This record gives sequence, C-alpha cells and structure tokens, in this order.
Amino acid sequence: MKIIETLGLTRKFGDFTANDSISFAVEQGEIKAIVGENGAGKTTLVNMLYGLSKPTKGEIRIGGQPVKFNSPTDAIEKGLGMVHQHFKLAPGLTVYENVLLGIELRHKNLPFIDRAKQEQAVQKVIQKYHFKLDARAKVEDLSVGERQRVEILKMLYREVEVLILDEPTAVLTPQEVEQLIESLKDLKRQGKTIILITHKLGEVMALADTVTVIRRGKVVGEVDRREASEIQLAQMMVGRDVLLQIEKEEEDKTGNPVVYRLEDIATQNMMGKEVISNISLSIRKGEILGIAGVEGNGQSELIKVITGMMLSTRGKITFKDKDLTNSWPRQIRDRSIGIIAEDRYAEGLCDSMSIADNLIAGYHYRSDVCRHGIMQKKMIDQKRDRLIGECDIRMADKEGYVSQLSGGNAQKLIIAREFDQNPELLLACQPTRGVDIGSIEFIHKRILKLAAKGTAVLLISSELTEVMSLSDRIAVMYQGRIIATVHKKETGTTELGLLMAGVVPDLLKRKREVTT
Amino acid sequence: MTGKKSILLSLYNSILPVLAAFVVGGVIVALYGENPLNIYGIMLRGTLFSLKGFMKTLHFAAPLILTGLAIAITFKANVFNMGVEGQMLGGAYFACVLGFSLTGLPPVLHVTVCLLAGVAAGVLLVIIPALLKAYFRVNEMVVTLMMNYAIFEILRVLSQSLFQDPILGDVSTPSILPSAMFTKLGGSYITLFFPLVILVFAIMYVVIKKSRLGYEVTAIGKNPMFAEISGMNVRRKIMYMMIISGALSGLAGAGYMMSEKFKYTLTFSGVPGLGWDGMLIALLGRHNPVGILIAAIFFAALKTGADTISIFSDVPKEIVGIIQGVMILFLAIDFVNAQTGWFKKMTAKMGRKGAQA
Amino acid sequence: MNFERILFDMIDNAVPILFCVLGGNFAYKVNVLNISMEGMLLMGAFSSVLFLMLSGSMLVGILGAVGIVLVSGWIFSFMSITRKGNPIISGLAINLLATSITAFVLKSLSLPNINVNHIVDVAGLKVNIPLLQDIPVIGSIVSGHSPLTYIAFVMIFVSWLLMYRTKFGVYVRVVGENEEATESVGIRGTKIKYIAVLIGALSCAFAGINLAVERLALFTNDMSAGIGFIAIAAIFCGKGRPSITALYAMLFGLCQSLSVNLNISAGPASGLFKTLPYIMIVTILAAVSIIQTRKNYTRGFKNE
Repeated sequence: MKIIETLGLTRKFGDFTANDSISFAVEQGEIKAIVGENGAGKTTLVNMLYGLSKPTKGEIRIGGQPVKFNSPTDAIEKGLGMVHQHFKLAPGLTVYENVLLGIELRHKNLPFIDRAKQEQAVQKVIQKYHFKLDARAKVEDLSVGERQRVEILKMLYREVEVLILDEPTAVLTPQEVEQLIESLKDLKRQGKTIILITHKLGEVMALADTVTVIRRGKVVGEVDRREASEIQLAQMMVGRDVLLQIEKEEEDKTGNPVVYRLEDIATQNMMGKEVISNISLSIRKGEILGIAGVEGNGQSELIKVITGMMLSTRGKITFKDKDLTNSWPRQIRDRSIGIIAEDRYAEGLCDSMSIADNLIAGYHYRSDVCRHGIMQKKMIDQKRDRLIGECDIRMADKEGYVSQLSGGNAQKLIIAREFDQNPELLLACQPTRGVDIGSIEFIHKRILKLAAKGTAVLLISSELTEVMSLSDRIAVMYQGRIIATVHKKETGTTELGLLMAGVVPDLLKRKREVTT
Repeated sequence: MTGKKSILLSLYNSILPVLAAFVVGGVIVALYGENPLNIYGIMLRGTLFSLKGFMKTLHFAAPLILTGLAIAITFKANVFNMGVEGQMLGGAYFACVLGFSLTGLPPVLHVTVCLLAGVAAGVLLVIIPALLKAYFRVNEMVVTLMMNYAIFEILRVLSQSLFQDPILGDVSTPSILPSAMFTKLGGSYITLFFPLVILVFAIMYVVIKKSRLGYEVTAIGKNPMFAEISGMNVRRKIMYMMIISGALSGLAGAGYMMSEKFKYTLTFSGVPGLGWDGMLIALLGRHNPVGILIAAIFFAALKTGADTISIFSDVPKEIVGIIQGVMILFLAIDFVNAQTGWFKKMTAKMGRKGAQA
Repeated sequence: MNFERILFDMIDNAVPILFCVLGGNFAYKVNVLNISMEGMLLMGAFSSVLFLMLSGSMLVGILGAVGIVLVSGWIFSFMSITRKGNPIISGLAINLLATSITAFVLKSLSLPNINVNHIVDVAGLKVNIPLLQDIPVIGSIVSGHSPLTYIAFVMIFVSWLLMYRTKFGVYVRVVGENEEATESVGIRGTKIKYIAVLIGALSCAFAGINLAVERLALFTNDMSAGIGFIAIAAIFCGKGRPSITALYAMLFGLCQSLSVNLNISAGPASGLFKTLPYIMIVTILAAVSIIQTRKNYTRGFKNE
C-alpha cells in the first residue's frame, strides 16, 4: 500500500520554484531515501509533508486519502513524525519533559504535572523500542546521538507510522551512525515506514529499499537500491544538464614553485566535535587546485579557516614561505590573496549598501579610494564605472543597492572586486553557485586567465563539472578529510564520483597519491 | 531598494510618530479644556519664532546634539551604548570638580582643562563595557544600562561627602569658579559652548558620512560577517565607536555643567535626563547627523517651551514628558516599511523613473 | 548598630524587589528583556493610591492598580513582541510615560503628593504573628510586617511551582531555550511570551501596592527609586530561577537597608551599598560570557 504519495507537488517562493511538480510514492514498511545536493529542494519537500509549509500546487495523499496539513500537529495526527536535522529540543529540560512537550500528563485533581507518571510513560516507550536512554536525564547532558534518539522518541511516543529523518547522520560520529542504522532497521522490523533525507550515499546503500533523486527541485530518478550502484547515484546527484567546455591550455605546472601550503589543518565546532582533520595540500604558482566533494563534508569549515573566519586547532598555513596560520582576513588580503566567500549574500556582499560601496569592500583603505582616512567619492565612482564596464554587470540603477542585482551579476561584482587587485593567490569558494550560464562562462574564463598570468587558485566547489573543467589537480573531501588528490588528466567522472561518495577505488590505492 | 526610497521611508518613520505624539498630547490638552493648537502655538512662539527664544533653544540644544550623536554612532553599528546618561553625568562631575578646585587659572585654560576632563571621564566610564562587548561578546545593552544607576549613586555619595558644598549641604557640590564658566554672549542665553558643539558636529559629520570609519561602521551595522571578512577588524571598530560615544557624552555633560548648571545636584540632568533625550533625538533623526541636528533643535524647543506653557495656561508642563514618552514608544517600531501597501503604491512611480536611468 | 532593625528593614525593602523579580523571571525565561518594570512599578503605586483616594475602598485601589499595570504590560508586549520593536526602547518609553503621567496628574490635581493616611492605617495593617513575635531576636525581625510582605515570600514557592510543575512553566522554559521546539508541536511562542510579560506586570502592580499603600499610604513622584532596575539585576544574577533570584532580592534589600541604617554611623558612604546590585550584575554577566567565548573557534559577530 502506498502510505504516502505526492502528486505534482509544487512550492514557490515568489518567483523561485523550490519544488517543481514532484510526484513520488512511499510503500508502507519500506525505507525510502530522498537524495540530492544541498539546495536541491529536499528540505522544502519535507516541510510540506510535515505541515510546516503549504504547497503552492499539487496534492499529498496519506493511505490513499488526500490531506491538507495546517501545522505539524495535523501531520502527527495522520501518523507522520519528523526528526529534524537541527534538533528541536530544550537542553535544560529532561528527556521526558521534551518528549511530552504539548501533551503533558497531569495529576488527577491538581493543576500540576505528574512527574512520576510522565517518567514512567516515557521509560516504557524507551524500552519498547530498545533505545538506551534514561527518561530522567537532562538533554544537555546527553551526547548528540542520544539527543537524536530523544527526537525520534518524541515521534514514536505519538505513535506515528511514518518517520521522516532529515539529514540524520550529519552530526553523528561513525559509531553513532552505526547505532542509528541498527535502530532504524529495528524500527522497520516493527512495521514502521521510514523516509530518509540525505546526501550521504553510504547510508543510502546500507538502509534504503528505494531511492528518489532530486536535483534543482525536480525528481530526476527513482531507483530500487538493489539495482543501482553508488556511481549511478552520485552521477544523478551532481551532474549538470549542460556540460561547459572550456578551452584550457594544458601546461605542465609541476616545475613551478609551491606558493600556498596547508599542513594538518583541523578545527572543531561549538560542541567540540572535530569537523575537519589532517587537511594538507599545496598549490604551485599558476596552478588551479580544485577541491571536489558533496556539500557538507567539511568544505564550509575549511573555507572559514583559510579565509580567517575560523581558528584552526592545529597545523600551519603558509603563503610564499610566510606563516599565515590563523591570520585575520585583513592580513590575508594584505598578502595579495583574493577571497571569494562561500555565501555571496551573507559574507561577500552587503545587499543594503550601494554597488560602489560593495565594490571597494575589503580594499577600501587603500590609497586608490581612501586618502588620509577620507573616502574619495569621485575615485570610488570612477572605479565602479570601470569595473561595471569590464565585467559587464547589468543593473537598473547604478547608484542603487546591491539587492537589485541578479545572482549572476552580484557574483560578477565580487569577481570584479577581487580580480582588480591582481592577487597572487585566489581562494574561490563556490564561485558559480546559483549563477546563470552566461555569467558562469564569464567567471570561468576570468579564473583561467588569472591562472595563466601566474596566480595560484584554490577552487572549492560542489559542482563536479566545474572542478573538472578548471583544475589542474583535484582533491576530494569526504567527511572532513581529503581522501585523495589526483591529476586531472589521470582521472575521470567515475572515479571522482566514487571518491565523493567515500569509496576509494582499488586502482587509486595502488597508485601513489599525488599530494603535498 | 534605491537610496531615494530609503530616505523617504526614514522621513515617514520619523514624522509619523511625532505627529501621533502631538495628537495624543492634543487630546490630553483638549480634555483640559484648552485648545491644543493654541498651546502648541504658545510653545513654538516662545522657542522658535523669537530671536531670544531661539537663542535659548539653541543653548539647550547643544548638549542634546552631542548625546544624540553619542547614541547614533554606536547604534549605526548595532551596538547599543545605553550608558550615555551615566557617561554624561561622569563627564559633568569631573569637569565640575576641576572647575571648583583649580584656582588661579586663566579662563581659556581652565575651560579647556575642564572640557578635557569631561571627555576623559566619559571615555573611562565606557571602556569596560566596550572591552567586554568587543572581546567577550557580553551584552553591552544591559551592562551600560546598569552602570548608569551605579554611577548615579556613586556621584550622589560623593556629593554628600567628599565634594559637598559646605554651605548648602545635602546633595550638592560647590559651584564652579567663574574662570571655568562659559559666559553668556550678548544679552542672550547662548554661550561659546554652542559653536564648539557645532564644530564637533561638523567633525562627526565628516567622520560618519565621508570617512573610512564611517563606511566601516555602516557596514558593521548592516552585515557584521561581511564586515569581518572584508577585513574591517570589527572588534577594534567597536572599541573605537564606544570610545567616541563616551567622549561625546562626557563632553556634553561637561559643557552643560559649565554653561548652564555650574554645580552638580540631583536634578542636574532633568527628567528623564540628557542622555535619554539623546536617545529620542537619535531615533528621531534616524541616526543621521543632519537628522540629529534638526531633532535636537526641535526637541530643545519642546523642552524650553514647556516652561512657557505653564506660564500662559493651566496645563502642567509635564505634558511635554508625556509627548516625549509617546514619541519614543512609537519610534520603537517601524510604522512603515518597504512592504506597507500605501508606501509601495506611492514609490512605484519612483521606481519606473529610476529604471530609465 | 541595631542588627534587628537592619534585618527588619531588609525584609521590608526586599518585598517590592521580590514581587518584581518573581514576575519578571518569566519574561527573562522567554528571552524578552523587560526594562519597563520600573515604570510598571510606579504606575502600580500611583494607581493604587489614586483609586483608593477616589473610592475609599482598598479593593478598588488594588483592582485599579492591577488593571492599569496590565494595560502597560500589554502595550509593552504589543510593541516588543508582536511588532518586533526594540524592547529596550519600548521599555524606556513605558518608564518615561509612567514618570510623566504620574507627575502630570499630580500637578493637575495641584497636589505635591497623594496622601491616603486618612483611609489606610499603616500601623494597623501590620501583622503581628501570635507565637512568633515573642521569640527573642527572630520575633522582632519576622513579625510585624504588612500582609503583602508575607504573601511575597509565599509567592516564591508559588512561582517555583508555576515554573517547574505546570504545563505553562514547561512551555515558558522551552520557548526561552528553543522556540522552534514549541512550534514543532504546535504551541504558539507568541502567546506564551505575552502571558510571561503580563505575569511580570501583575507582580509589579503588587510591588507598587506594597510600596505605596501598605508602607506609607502615600504617593510621591519617582518613589520607585530604581527598584525596578535592581529587580532586573537580581533576575540576571539569578538567571531567572525563583529560589536564587529571591535570594538576590533579599541581598539587595539588605543593601538598601544598610544604606539607610548605617547613614548615622558611616555617613553618606553608606550610600555605596546601593551600587552593589549593579556591580554584581556586570560582574556576573562578564564572567558568564568570558567562559563561553573560550569554547568558540569562530570569529566575527552576528546581528542579534
């Protein structure tokens, strides 16, 4: 029986279509994986299934009956429970208080909560599902894996038939992942249906019965796990519709001196968990090193460390033999290193400031626009006009705010700004994310030109084709480490796809790694 | 959104609360049996439409311009120095103490020393909250707010003991010496403090609008991550801004002491206090130097006008405090934002013109 | 130095602080910064005395105070929660309005203060607990206070029950720690925040009644004297927990008492005790933040 079915489900935010006519079905008692890159539309889809968001068009059917959810409580009533990626728990409260949130048990005659009753009720459910938890423990004292179990328990207590888990292993250690996989298999045996949203192909292969692949808001494939291979799944997830062929001069850069080096860089998140480890790489003058990998494998943290926005807990960063470890962004730019930040609107630009103001940011203290501490408006405007022309940035009002620009033009603005300084090293992070084809072409050409002139480039991107067409060498990140670094000429999409999924092909194991 | 549109938005968000406050005040006045327009007319005539009145208004506007700027400069960066009142009182006190203890100094020197003391006091009082915010991310709002009351109590104790006026007793310091006072110019209220304030205002205008610090402060206020990754060293800039804010507050207190009050008592700062008036002015002026100048003069007119009201009618002058309170209440929110229906319609015409540029 | 006198005054001084604190804890726990307690306290004091004078009835006085303060609380909530305004500014506005409105009304009545001593017998209100009052030392400290004093201490337990043993208390704590957690089970955080602030308003009303009617049967301008802010200091120092914040309220009540009682022996320096609440809150806030930043590897600020 199809326990959940969606028919032509669409969600728009203004002009942007996050989910485009998605139709898929989940059989009762199966484990279905929904895979896709970040931004593909998985979370939007699931928010609609759970009543956190209303569809613009289309229908959801539970057990064959069409339903309309106005809030999560409606979804829970129909037997759907969701375990969010960012836990919705109150750390200072106990397990049983969190599980029973909204459905507290009271004393018979007094208006107070009956703590003993609540504790017993929750402990009973814990035992039923073989979780190992103490109902009286405070959530803040629990490990991440245990907290996740509390989230799952919240739903199981409410007797849901379908559990939706959103990126459940993103925050778990390998052992905790093992435990979770066991628990989910156990739940399936007890008759529950599970929908797993993830981009980690390893888990998909271990758990799923069927897989639905989503890319850019559309369903691009439905496979039975037994018939698919990881390679196929990887390709479905990351491939682009249009392969951009870039004319690249293939020069041998191995004779050039190494200008940028990372040695054993690592850092940890707020909860003390190490999110990147043993990151070592080197880049030669004029060389483009691309870091490929599915988003969420530590790239963001690595970017933050190399751009000076996060401290590394050990290791060294050197540029032209000068130690740059844990330098601030200002010091990095002063060394003639250009930074294209990962998030265009949160970090690269200020969308409530003018185009001119954004074009000078990061270099606004230099003598071409600032004399004796006073900003020189005429010179700033001249610079703006020049750069707009050079990069063909389209806008309605050149005095207006940056918010008027399209994604591609905004990104070109950042490129214009950084390239104008003729940096000797460029840190390009997700440089064409959310950008139109024409601008992508422009940006790629500029990067290649820069490299041809001798600038070393570190390109971090989750678009495999971009990494492949631009780079001389490619490093692949997986779970916070670099698992391989190869020459572009000696590899192909297949091998890279496997590496991105965490699989190191035998061939590679026998080859000598071309690294630092 | 374009620059022009945002200026219009700011204007609306400042003027509407003022009008609303005057309507509320007008209703109360009407309940009193008086004609609101009459009352408001009396107020304005005494303060803005007569030369003597206008001079008096400018005189009282002087410290308000400074406290307004003190608040605005930090607010622009989303840092909230709530301690302007306390820093102002500290500045006034230091200036006062040096004003009556240093004898035998020529006036120019005495005045300068006292003003500098005021500035120093303001800076000293803001350093700890500034460091805590910049380097340890402590909530500066609560810390500076609480320090106001601590400072007030300490100054009260000092005025009852160490620096007490032997003749008057209770909470009062001796008067400062004539050599430390700003003398009234001509026959009017105004002193040299006012042109000094205008000079400081001009400097702050250049700093906020045209300097690198002003650019960085604006960026930090709008998007601090962007500012940090663009190398603006946010921690240091926060320190600079808090220090400037403290300095301006201290100067305001010192100048007010030396041009109007001449000694420290419990009623030195009035109700609710020059620092809080500065908050209202900064809000009204949308944290913009020119806006603050206009708001300060308008507000000083309101305050000095309160006295004329009580002379010419039965309405108690506390009505001004009520109008002030209503203004702040309405200024706490944005009446109009980019999404409001009638604003969108009105500015749609502007958009089309701009697109042709 | 009369210890008994000092401790007796400590209890009296602590009561208005305690009322404000116990109610204000709820706003703290839902992360709404309620600066307007000072203004609400003043309005409570003023309205209770005014209504008492106009009607001659205690009950009307109390109801009037509660009503007016709840309205102020609702205005504050509307501005800060619904319209998402800056709570410091709206709080400041309420405080200013309270001072101005009360001064305005006094002026228009041509009175320097409102004296209701002819209606209320302050001395007669004092409760002398039968057996307790005869115990040496303790008796003279604990017995002989006004009724609301004893109610205030009972309220410590009641507010603890409310916060930790009722559904509402759970929701309050969850909204403060992770508002999304409540949304995900269908509870509206806005409603909880409103009620939390209004509880604070209600308790400030009683603080005002105690301050004006019970203790002095009088209202003068600015008689709130910073008690609202001392309460904020106690709330922050005790992190919104009823038992701990109550202790801080007592401590700060002791400071007030010392500053008055030691005046004769120590002179004006005794006034320095009044600074203690503010110094404590700054120190504690600093200590907490310093410890937290040690764990953080990221740089840069975020707009709160």
